Amino acid sequence: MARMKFLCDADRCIECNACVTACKNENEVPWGINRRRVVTINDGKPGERSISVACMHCSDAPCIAVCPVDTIYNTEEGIVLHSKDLCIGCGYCFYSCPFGAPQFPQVGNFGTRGKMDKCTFCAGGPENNNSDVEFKKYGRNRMAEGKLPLCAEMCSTKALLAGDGDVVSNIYRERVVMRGFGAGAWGWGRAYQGQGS
Amino acid sequence: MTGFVRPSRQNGPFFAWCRLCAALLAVAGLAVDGLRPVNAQMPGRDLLGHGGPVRAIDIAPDGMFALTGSFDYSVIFWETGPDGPVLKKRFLAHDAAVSAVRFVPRSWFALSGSDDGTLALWNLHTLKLERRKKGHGAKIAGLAVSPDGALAATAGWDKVVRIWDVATLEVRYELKGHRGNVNAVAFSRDGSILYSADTNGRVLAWQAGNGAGPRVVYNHGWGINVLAALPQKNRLLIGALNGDVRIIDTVSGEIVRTLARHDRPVLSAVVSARHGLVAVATGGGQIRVWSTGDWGSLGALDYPYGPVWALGISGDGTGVYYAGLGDAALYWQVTPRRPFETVRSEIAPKSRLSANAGPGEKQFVRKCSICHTLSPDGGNRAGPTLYKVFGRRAGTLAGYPFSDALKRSTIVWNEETIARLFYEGPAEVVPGTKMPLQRMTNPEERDALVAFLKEATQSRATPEKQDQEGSR
Repeated sequence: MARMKFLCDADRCIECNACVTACKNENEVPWGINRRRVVTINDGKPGERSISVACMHCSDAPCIAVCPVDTIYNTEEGIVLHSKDLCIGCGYCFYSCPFGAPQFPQVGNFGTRGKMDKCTFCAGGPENNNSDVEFKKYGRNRMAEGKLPLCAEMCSTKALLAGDGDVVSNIYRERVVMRGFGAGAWGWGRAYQGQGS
Repeated sequence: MTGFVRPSRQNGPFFAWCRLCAALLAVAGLAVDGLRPVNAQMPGRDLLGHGGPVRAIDIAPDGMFALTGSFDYSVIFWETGPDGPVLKKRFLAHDAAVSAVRFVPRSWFALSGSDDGTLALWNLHTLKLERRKKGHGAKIAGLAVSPDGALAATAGWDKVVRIWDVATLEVRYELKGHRGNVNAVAFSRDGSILYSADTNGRVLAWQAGNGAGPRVVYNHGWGINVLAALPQKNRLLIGALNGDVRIIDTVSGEIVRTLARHDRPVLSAVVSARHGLVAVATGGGQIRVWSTGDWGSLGALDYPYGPVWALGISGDGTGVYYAGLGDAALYWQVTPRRPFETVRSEIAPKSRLSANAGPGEKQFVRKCSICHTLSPDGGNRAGPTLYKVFGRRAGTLAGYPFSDALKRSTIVWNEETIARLFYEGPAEVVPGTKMPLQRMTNPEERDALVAFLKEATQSRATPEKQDQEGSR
């Protein structure tokens, strides 16, 4: 079974925000909520880097450990999903997440007030695959259609990779061999406990 | 419980001699049970009384009192004298978890902010609620009080900062300028400037007196979770999502010093100008303490049971209160360090599941036990005990502060009504209830939970009681 992971090559991201737009459009994410965002550090200064950040679907996800009502769970492919039926909006997942991924809309088409919303790796939620209720609560289930997350699929510089962790890490390894390590794959070690970082 | 032992209260020359011997043994790194001198083994200082994770701590300026706020919707006012903490009053008024607490300097008042977006003013002399006002459209994530005690500021997840008049709890200014949820606020040492920080990593400055602003002080890129004004002029401590702890110059916006880089988000920071101390804690349970004089490290503790999101420096400046997923605010003695430090076992209720638990018990322990017990004692949890709930009319259990909606309800709890509660959701069945909207749409899971509740609520041999006893 493949283990799904994101990889953001900090040497390639050009801060175009296409990943953010793709995510919002594909999943019809409501106004005010960004499941994915581009963080720029040292903006306008030497060493400026941009990194596309969303839920990294961590190997030992801290959000799962802190959720007081067992809302968040791992799929067989290592994707971290959650049930909006069970979420009580306490925000503990936000505080534990090293990527600031969980979002808390007040109103909108993603459930009711205060339910957590985050990247699903375009894998929907606990509802039936590709059902209307799944789309309304969690967005598109591209994984059930045999597709990868749209943010990575349409990244023009292929800074953002998504897929089987072995495959994406091999692609990154080949890049490092050709060009050197550079700024690194930000967040990889933090999310996947040093595997390949 | 592990850890502290109360000192012997026996008097007389024999016991004085024993205590002297014990003190000498303690200096040598040894200890004798029952003869522990005060300096070697302080009385238990953990703040035990909440029925849910403690989310906020504040220590009074004189160091004699403490406040804690919790997931259990309550604020507790403590006296923290040399003989150990005394629970003075458990305050209940909020309709959701308490996320921030602060003493009001130079007064007998305290403030608390909640996930329900309200700010409450408590009279610590009469031990009563003065008033509670709705301000934010989302949870209050941060709370600060001006040094003169006249103004309060709140950081809201509605992207707004509010400045309140403490005496009346009227909103003086609504400060709009953040593009992300606001996580933290801090007044400058002279109270003239209010700083606020958001999930987009920006620190903004506002004139506290007239709400003018904002001026962008600093942009970290990664979200900023905590702010604290330092004793030095124009110096602000920030703690960020990416684990950075930095000191910035509030005039130039330059980074003066990076104190630490952590693997996990910084969730809490507290400054004691009186003792010259700064303490910081992270989502990985790391706690660090520095001296503000030379920024030398005074100690570090790795709390093994998850994130630490609340800190307070003890009144005597020798230790730190800290809290995370557990129901207690724990005490860690920083100076002098103890040779053998123990940490109270803090197992979250959802993890207290026995290996042979049935499907209904699994549902209860994982999804309900954070707020409800099954025993006659409600355990100060956010929700009422479910003991003998079957056949009881909703909102009638004595001693629990039900919402008006539930008090007016005519529902009698049985298999059908409890199943309906989880099929439709509490907000649908009883509009106006404090219970968060949770639904169990899977009929097998729902039926298993109802069947378990029907059996378990009739008996005192509850799973959480058994597990608590087993973990001791």
